[in-house]
Amino acid sequence: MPLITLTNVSKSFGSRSVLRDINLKIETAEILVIMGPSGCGKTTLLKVIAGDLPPDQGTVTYGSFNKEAIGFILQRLNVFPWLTVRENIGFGLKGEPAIRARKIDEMVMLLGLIGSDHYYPSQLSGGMLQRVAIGRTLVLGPQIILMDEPFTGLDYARRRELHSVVRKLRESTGVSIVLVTHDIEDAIRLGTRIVVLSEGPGAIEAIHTDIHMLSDAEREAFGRQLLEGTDRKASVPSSAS
Amino acid sequence: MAPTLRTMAPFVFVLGFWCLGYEIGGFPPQLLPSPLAVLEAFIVQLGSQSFWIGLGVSIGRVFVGFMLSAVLAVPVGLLMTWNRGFRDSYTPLNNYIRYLPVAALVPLLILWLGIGFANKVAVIFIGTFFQLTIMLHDNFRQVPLGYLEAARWVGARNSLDLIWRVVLPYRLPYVMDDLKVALGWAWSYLLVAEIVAANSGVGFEIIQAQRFLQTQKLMALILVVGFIGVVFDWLFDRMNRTMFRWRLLEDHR
Repeated sequence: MPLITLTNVSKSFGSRSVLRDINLKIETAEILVIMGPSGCGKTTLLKVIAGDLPPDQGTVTYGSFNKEAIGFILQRLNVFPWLTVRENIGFGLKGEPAIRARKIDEMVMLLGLIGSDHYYPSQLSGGMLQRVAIGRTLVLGPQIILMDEPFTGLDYARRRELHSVVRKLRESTGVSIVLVTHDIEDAIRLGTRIVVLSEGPGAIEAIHTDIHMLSDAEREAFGRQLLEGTDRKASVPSSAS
Repeated sequence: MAPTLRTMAPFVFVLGFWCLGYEIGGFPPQLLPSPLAVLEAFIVQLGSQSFWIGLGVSIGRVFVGFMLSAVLAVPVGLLMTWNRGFRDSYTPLNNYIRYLPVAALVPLLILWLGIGFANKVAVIFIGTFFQLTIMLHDNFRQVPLGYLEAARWVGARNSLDLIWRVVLPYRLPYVMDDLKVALGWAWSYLLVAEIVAANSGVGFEIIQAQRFLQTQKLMALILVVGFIGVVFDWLFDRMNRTMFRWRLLEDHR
């Protein structure tokens, strides 16, 4: 059973239609990438999935998991400047101090923040801030993490580094990740599935599956196709399906 | 130039100007005593019990009046920021009182409260509270919505949680800045109230010195008031630096 199912979802703000007739299922342990041109309603879709915005039409149904198990990493990371890395990661944790400390330790290790965990955000690089934001959400043990353009403003190397962090995360924890990006590189490197939205009001234009099964060369070729295809309806090479 | 030298230079300049004025101005010492005479008067004051009692009384009045004002202004500032109904109905009254010169209220407060402790506390409270609420409201408004949204996604449950865990810890160093400014006003208003009517306190000592034409004592007391202000400022900055290291790092980024 899918974790979250969107059926015929539409959303408008006043007279401006933002999402149009979206049907989408989010499955366990997948990385679903939502792509599309600026203003096509990617962030709105993410907020609808999160249950933060009710759709005007259609329904959002949640599978057998606690809705609190949804984590949301916002476009601006908003790592709290008055807390250290450890305190930021532990912000939402409850329970005994010893258990909390252990969970924070694990997260610091997983995200490669050892040695920087007593720093304040102003002492960190953009990539590290990104990790703290991820850690602060992940430590709460979500079943789904929604990420809104989490790699914006990072250089190529940091981006690649975080790609592997996110992939590792899915493999080691089985968490589902829904990631909004306008970057094809992010999409083909991370996505197990890619949803392409049309120019606003966003409707689903194409869904590409099994991206993670592609070889590197196939993936590059697919990425080029996505980039070049003015209709953005590139198809996944047959070997993947 | 060493920081201490840099900070002392303007004081030395003012002192030099004073010496020059005294030497070539030919003013009578009842109008402009020499720096040396003022220093002498200051030393005499250090040995006088009434000076220390007056100082203690004044500091006590400022402390109580200012604390009362600060402790109440923080929740009112928060309410003004997060409760639109409260803000809309309360702000006009707050601003009306804010524009009333406190000095104009002193005679009325004497009628109501006498010339003792309660009167001084009331003057300080009225002089600072209605300014502080506006400053704190502005201060709390600076919290980026993103912090609140992010906190909500990682477990902050309600407005109280957000205020306690996000707004206050984030804005506290800046609240301290506001308090530092307001403390300066508290001193000023206390002196006004003590000079108008009191039977103790630094202001009372000042007006007594003026009545007896002890200008050197008068000036020594004024210098003491300024000095205490500088010490309070220093204490605030020191506290800010030790309590909120993150802000220091942020400022020097």
